[in-house]
Amino acid sequence: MIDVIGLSKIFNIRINGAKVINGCENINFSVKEGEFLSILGPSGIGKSTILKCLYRTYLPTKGEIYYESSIFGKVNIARVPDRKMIVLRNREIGYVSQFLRVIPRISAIDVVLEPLLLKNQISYKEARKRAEELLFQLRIPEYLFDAYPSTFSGGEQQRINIARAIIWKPRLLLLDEPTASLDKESVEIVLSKFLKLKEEGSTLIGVFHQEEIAKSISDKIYIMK
Amino acid sequence: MHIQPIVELKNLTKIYGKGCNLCVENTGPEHETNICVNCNSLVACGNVSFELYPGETLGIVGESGSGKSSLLKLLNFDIEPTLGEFYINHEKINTFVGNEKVNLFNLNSFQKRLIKNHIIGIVYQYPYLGLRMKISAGGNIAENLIMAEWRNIEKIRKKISELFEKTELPIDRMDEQPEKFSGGMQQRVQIAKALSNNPIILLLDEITNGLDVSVQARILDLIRNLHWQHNLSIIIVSHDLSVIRVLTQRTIVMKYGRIVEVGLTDQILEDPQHPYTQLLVNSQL
Repeated sequence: MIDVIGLSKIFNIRINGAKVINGCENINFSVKEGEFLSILGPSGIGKSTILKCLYRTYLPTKGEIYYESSIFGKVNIARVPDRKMIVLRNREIGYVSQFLRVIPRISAIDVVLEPLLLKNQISYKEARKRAEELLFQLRIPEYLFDAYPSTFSGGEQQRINIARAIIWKPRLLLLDEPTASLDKESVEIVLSKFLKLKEEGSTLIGVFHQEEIAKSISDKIYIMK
Repeated sequence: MHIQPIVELKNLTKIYGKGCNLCVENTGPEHETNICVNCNSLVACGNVSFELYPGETLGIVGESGSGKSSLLKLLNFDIEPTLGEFYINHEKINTFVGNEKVNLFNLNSFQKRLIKNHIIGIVYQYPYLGLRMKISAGGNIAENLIMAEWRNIEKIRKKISELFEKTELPIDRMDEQPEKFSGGMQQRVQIAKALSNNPIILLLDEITNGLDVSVQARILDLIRNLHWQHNLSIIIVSHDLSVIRVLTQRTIVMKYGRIVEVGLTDQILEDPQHPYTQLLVNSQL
């Protein structure tokens, strides 16, 4: 489903004295549909850089990222036009960041259900029902559903973030240390959710710090040095 | 799956002053000026081309004087371009200009007015540009409706009440003059006015400027909801990167009247390519 060939990302900082920062260099890997791949390695080695290139938050400097899309067929994410990437993000590819970036004055439940409305033509009521179910499963107390996430604890915010990413069942889900700010119990719930997504046919690529988490859920592990 | 853009803009150039054939060549980011050395004319926009897609929110960022507001005024036919092509692909436009694809800049003033009244809604940076401060808030909106052939006073008032409700304005202050309103309320009246004829394209020029943060958040929230409910295609000009981050999917960066970078909004903010964009992103508080 994904073929990464010779991917490099070099940051060219042109202000404040020109600097060149190496994000990642000559990365090659493939992931089959329905697989769970984990990428392990120390901080600063370029794990997140790879994920961000796959999501096109970063523009790759070199290399190709071939992705088998169900809408467009085979596309090279490294070079795909912005407009197509937006469609892919709305319909196929999800991303979980390390932290939730809150949007002011949007309630937790609306943050979670928004991608569902973007992808499917379903009513707000139906979307809300599904978001509520998911938040229950992730042990978010009901009185928080209509509150603004900016007031939540770090762990609660991160569970909102994860709920937002998995509710619409993306074909490909990219995980950037999704469990870093969660307690043990939440980690287990969240991991079971990821595995359920995989059972339903999604492909997942995750970056993790803890080896034991990666081992417990992945089909394949790449270690970066 | 092919998606047709709703707006296509090609090589839009606006020169203030007498202009010469070197103006565009002599200006822009690489010359660090928008004044032509040859004839002293000011190039507000030079060869600006972009596309806007249905239901998209497109951000335009850049420092003061980079040509952002001129661009919106050109799109709203407030000022005449020196050069350029402007197309809107939507069935609603065919009733005004026929079925053939025409450069909207070449239309006559009557046709342009029809497009302004029925297709485009605009909210200006300063409320006094978009509103008449001495006539009632409701009257300001009625003006737009009357231009779009609304004639029944009761229906007009009903429509205005709906718009007030939608933009969270107190309906009982409909007959007051906007000059008595706070800055945030004036912006809401402008938004209500812009929405009055169900536009398909909304142009927003620094709409949260000078408003305190809680009012800002309410305006942004309103825009998000309107975008959802009406599936509007929106162009947002702002120098506030957090506004751009919250509201847009794609962003254009302008400097000295040129587009220096276009990209997905998160890419522009996290992996800016052009030195000016890098400076802009790193200057954010």
